[in-house]
Amino acid sequence: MTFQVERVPHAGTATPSFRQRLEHIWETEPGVAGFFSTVDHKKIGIRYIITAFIFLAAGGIEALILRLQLARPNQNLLAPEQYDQLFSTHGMTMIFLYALPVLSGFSNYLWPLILGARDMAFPRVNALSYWLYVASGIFMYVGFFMGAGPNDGWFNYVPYANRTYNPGLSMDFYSLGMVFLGISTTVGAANFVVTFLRLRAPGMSINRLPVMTWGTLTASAANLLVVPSVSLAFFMLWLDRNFGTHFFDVSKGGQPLLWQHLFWIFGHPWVYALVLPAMGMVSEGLPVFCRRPLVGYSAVVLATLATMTLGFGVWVHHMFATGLPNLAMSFFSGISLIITIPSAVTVFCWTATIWTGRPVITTAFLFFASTIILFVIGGVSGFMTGSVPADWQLNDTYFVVAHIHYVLLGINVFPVCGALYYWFPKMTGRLLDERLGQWNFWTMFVGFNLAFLPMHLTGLLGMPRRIYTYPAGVGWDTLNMITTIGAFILAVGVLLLFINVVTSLIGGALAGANPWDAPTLEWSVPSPPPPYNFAVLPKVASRYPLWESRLQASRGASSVTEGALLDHERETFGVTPLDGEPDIILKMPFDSYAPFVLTVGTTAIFVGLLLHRHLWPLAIVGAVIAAASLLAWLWPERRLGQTVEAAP
Amino acid sequence: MSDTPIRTQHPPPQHVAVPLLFFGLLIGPAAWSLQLVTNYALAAYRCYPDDMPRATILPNWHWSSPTILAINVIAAILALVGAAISVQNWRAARAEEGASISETLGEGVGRTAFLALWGIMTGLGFFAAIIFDTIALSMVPQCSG
Repeated sequence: MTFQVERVPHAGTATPSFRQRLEHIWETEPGVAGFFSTVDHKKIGIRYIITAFIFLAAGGIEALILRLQLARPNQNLLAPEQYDQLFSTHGMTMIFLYALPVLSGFSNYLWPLILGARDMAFPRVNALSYWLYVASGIFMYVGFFMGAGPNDGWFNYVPYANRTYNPGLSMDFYSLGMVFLGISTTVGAANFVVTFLRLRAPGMSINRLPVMTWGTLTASAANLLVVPSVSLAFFMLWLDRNFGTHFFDVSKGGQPLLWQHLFWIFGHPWVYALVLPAMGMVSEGLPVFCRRPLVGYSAVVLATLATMTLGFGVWVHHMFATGLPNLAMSFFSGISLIITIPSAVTVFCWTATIWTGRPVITTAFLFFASTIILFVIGGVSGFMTGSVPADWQLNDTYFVVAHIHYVLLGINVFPVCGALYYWFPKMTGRLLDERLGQWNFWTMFVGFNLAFLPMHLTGLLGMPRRIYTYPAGVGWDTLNMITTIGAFILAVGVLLLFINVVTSLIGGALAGANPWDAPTLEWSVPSPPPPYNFAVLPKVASRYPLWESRLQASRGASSVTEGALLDHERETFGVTPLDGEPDIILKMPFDSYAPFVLTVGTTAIFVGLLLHRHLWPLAIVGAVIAAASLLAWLWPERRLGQTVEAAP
Repeated sequence: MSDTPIRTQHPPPQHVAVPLLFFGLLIGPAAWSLQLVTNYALAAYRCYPDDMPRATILPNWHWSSPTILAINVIAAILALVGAAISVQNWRAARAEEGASISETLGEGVGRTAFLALWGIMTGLGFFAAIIFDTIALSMVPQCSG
């Protein structure tokens, strides 16, 4: 097979002068200019991760205050309205501003490296996605700091969210903020899908893709389908509140259940979007520490896709207590139960990988392996609420709070911590401290289970969610105190992680290119990687390019030191989606201020809409700025081959 | 730096048409999706409140139960057809790529075999999901109260 591209690229090995030329082409300008204009996926990925962890810290502090309020009965640390805003903001922060963005950060950083490309498919869209995420997060937090944070739970049910019952700006901040954030999520998801299909190393056919990428792909595809649903719901709510429409107003023929349908059609797939990429991280990292390939790669990948597909058909299980017809609910109950099958397949494959491997007990391994236990606990409680009669008993109790925390911490926070220990050396060139890491893991693991395992019992004893305090002597006192103690221990564990990151950045052991002796392409380049990722674009002949000699793969050999040499401006290969055959040399865009300026314009639009009674012209100004930045963004560039050259 | 054009042995020859491959892969989930949303709408309609003029919205509403059953049977058959086609695809792919099941699962030999294997699993898996929904017809009272 030969390349079907405009010019036949030359193959070879990279010389120092060649690397220097690539460095010059790909490096970001230093200083403030580079900060606002960079499109380097590695810088954007790390920014995503740092920003998400800042939001995690904020959400964590909110949780600790909530737990102080609930530690004992009849506490008055928080007033009811303060409590409502705090638990709603905690949910908003953790679910929307931490859980998905942190996964986007890892995927942004890792995808081109693990796929054997030099950047994401749309680098400027990547930058835009990040800036919009930051701006929408700030937008929603401004509301919170003004005393106008969301106060109706992260799911924001009507009619309480309607203006009649909820005057002020709380719901407007949240509604517009979610539409705002939805733009970031959507453009980021589109970028992942196209990158997955087109930007891979030659030879990386669809059956050889690193398992981690499948999780992010399915999450991204799902987000493209479901984010419009929630954006529409929030936009309709904003119209109801500000322009007299009646989408959700019963007295005028509106439908409160419409909100729940639109929200949960988004909400449940979103939960899977928060865990499947993290499960992909476990599937990628766990086998490395078991010193063997993942057991059942094909089954795990299919389970990932099947979980997401089935995940579109379970949203009504959030609405079992709304009076829907029995038979209609039973269909969703059936799917809510059967979705455990693909989840179980993944769990069995992970377990078999450990069982048949030779585990090396590092901190990363502990975080990855503990995910299995937490996933099973969260999965079993989810299975229980998938049954309609059980759900009627458990609905709106602390049992559900325990379930969601086992899912979101167990299958997001714990895998993310494992991923940090695993890929931190690649990102920084330094290893995180293992001794502190072990303390970090065990503190988090003990604290988490102390906080949330008893919470199941609290729920079974009847304690409802979303109450700011409770009377003494109804059997909840001790359990709540235990949960609060566990929450603080968990917080100490997270603090140890932050301390480890800082101290290791300063004085951690040098990592080298492949400190874990791992099999995938990102470990073939120096740590941290150069701006161009790969001096020569690798050729891939198996799923584990760096383990081929020991696995005795019989069908060709991958090459990471000799390959295509692309150095006419910023270039990388585009490949065919199924076979990974190069079919085009892509000209990648250079750094640009356009994504940042477009974000500034978009922010002005949303602020203008929020304060439309007084500041509507700001929305017009924002639209003009956004249009101008888009024009600059799309202006044809000679270096990208977008201009018609003069005939000779 | 050399001037050798890059040549690889990848991919092996493909004798299974890509549309057929994807038909086998996707027909099961597609059938399941359609039966789920249709089931939900029809089942919910059976329980429309008595004071609402449902006949003006959907005449012949009393046929909803047999209709749900018929839709489920058709969907289940489609899922099985997807699995059967994928079995054929799998056999053809094995012949052309010489890959065993363990090679496909382990080394990742042959994207056609890989996708065909998926088709078998999705066909059978979504057949099971449709059967779950169908069982409910005989076990669950249609409306509350």
